[in-house]
Amino acid sequence: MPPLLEVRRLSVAFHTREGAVRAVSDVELELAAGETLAVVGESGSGKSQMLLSMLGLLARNGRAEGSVRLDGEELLGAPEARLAELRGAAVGYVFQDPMTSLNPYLSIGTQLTEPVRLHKGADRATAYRRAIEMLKAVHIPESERRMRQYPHELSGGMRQRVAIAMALMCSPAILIADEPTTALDVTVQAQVLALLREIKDQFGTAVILVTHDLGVIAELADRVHVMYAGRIVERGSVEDIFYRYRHPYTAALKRSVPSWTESRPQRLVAISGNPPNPLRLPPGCAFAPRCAFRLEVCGERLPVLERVTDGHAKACFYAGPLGEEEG
Amino acid sequence: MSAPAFSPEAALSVGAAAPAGRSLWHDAWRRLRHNRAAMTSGVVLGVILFAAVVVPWLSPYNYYSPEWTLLDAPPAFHGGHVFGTDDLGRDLLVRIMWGCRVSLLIGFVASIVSVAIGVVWGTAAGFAGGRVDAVMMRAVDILYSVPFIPFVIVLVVMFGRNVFLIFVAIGAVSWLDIARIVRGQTLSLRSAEFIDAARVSGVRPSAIVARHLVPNLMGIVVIYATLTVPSVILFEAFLSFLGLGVQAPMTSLGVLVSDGASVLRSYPYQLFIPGAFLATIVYCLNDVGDGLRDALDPKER
Repeated sequence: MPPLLEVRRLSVAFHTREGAVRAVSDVELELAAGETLAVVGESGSGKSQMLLSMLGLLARNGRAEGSVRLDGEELLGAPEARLAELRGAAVGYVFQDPMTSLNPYLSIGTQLTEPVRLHKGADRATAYRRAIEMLKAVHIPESERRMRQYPHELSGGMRQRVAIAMALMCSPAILIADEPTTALDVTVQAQVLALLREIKDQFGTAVILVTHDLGVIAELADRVHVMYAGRIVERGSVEDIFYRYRHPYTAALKRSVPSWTESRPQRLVAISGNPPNPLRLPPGCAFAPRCAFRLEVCGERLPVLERVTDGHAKACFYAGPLGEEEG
Repeated sequence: MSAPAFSPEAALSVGAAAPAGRSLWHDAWRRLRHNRAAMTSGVVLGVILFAAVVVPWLSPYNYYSPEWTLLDAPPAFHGGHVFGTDDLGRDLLVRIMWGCRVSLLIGFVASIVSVAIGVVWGTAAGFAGGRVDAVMMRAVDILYSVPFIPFVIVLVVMFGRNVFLIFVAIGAVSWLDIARIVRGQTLSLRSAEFIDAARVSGVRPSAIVARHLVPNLMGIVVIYATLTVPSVILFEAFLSFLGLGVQAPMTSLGVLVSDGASVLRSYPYQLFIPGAFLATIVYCLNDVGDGLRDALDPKER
């Protein structure tokens, strides 16, 4: 069975006054129905642009190349009208900050019902019932009353639930969650994650989870893609990425997560240096300038993804041990 | 798609009652009703408007016939001239009511025209962005630099004097400010996440502008519109003073005030009575505008 979503050699570039900015380079990924795929990376590593380019929502100076197939249908270069049909109907999107992703001037009910009325041509009453049903699915009590309220009358966690309900209104095959917990309190984060897991079990929705929080991944994902400077540098199962990581960047990401298990307080470990300027990417591996395991070849040639074990691949020339391994 | 499709039957099984029609305007009206100051001002405006329509119709006097035996008569209830007469013996009550008619008409029509043009122009420029935005806003800059009085004189010379021309002249100038303000707001709203959220749920650009952008602009537009009405009324007074506005014997509040100002020492009521009407109208408009802004903002409950 072909994958639900198949991305081949996807590149995204933005044309600016200073030259072309390559936000995403040669990304390949596959998503099976019902699967949860996590994309991890620092801010500016091209995660969000990659996802937006799939829906044809790049800024005007952006161009995407390659191939994105949803259920066998090519999306890149598809007519705008067709893309508009798919947005919201086949692919739901949850944003990072629920404080700003809901329109402050429209009631919850109006916003929730907009996608179904648009895509399914549902009448007001049907859309209303569907909205109530979805609010119940995301565990919002007193849904009838909430429908009449405005976003500012809801708490942050509640708003994110509404945003999730909104993304699910048309029963999309894929739910894209772009850092869905970053703007929330830790306790609320846990609730939202639990909700996402429940939803993918209940509705069988495939989830693409964008995050820079490794804890979120451990909680939710089946497979993980690690992105750096617009390229996928390592991909594998959660266990591969957490315990058998083979890329120095993944290792550095893992080390920079504060640990609570140590008895003595420790200094936070930061990855030295900054992500490269996408206007002037280094000729070889983009991580080389910050890499502790740099080889001579790293500055000259670009490493490609190569198989480590089944389903696990890394783009790195270095093959030795990466310091303390866990597990 | 392989995920379970949305079916109306499944939704129906939830079995909730259909909602009462609730819209932005419905909610706004409910909130406005609870704002005592705005409602009072609205009622006062309504009374003035009603009087302006009805009084000249019922009164035995008209606004243009002089009464040579009663020049500059002071206000008196028994003589029939409640607000007195002016220097030609014309009944001031009727003239003030005609002035209210003319001023309110010019104020509202010119404001509606300028708000409509300004909002459309501003949202289009701000939402399109880039080169379209640059060209549209340069057009605004160029119109800004046209000196107003020569512009009106040219219009009058070309088309002759009539009230409609004043609408055109004032409307042509006052939409520029609104366009700039709306464009600025649109630029900042365009990058708001809820606009992105609407785009990823497949809402068409025109619907995004109409349903998501414009409601967020309403507050500032309403405030600006209610400030425009009085400024247009004063503008018209200024034009009339130069002889470019409404022509005698037709009158407007601006004309009455400037006529009254010239005889302030001898007949102060000729300034103060129309002045009081003008001030009341301007004050009430501001109050109503304030109330509307609050009513349109769901955070103000």
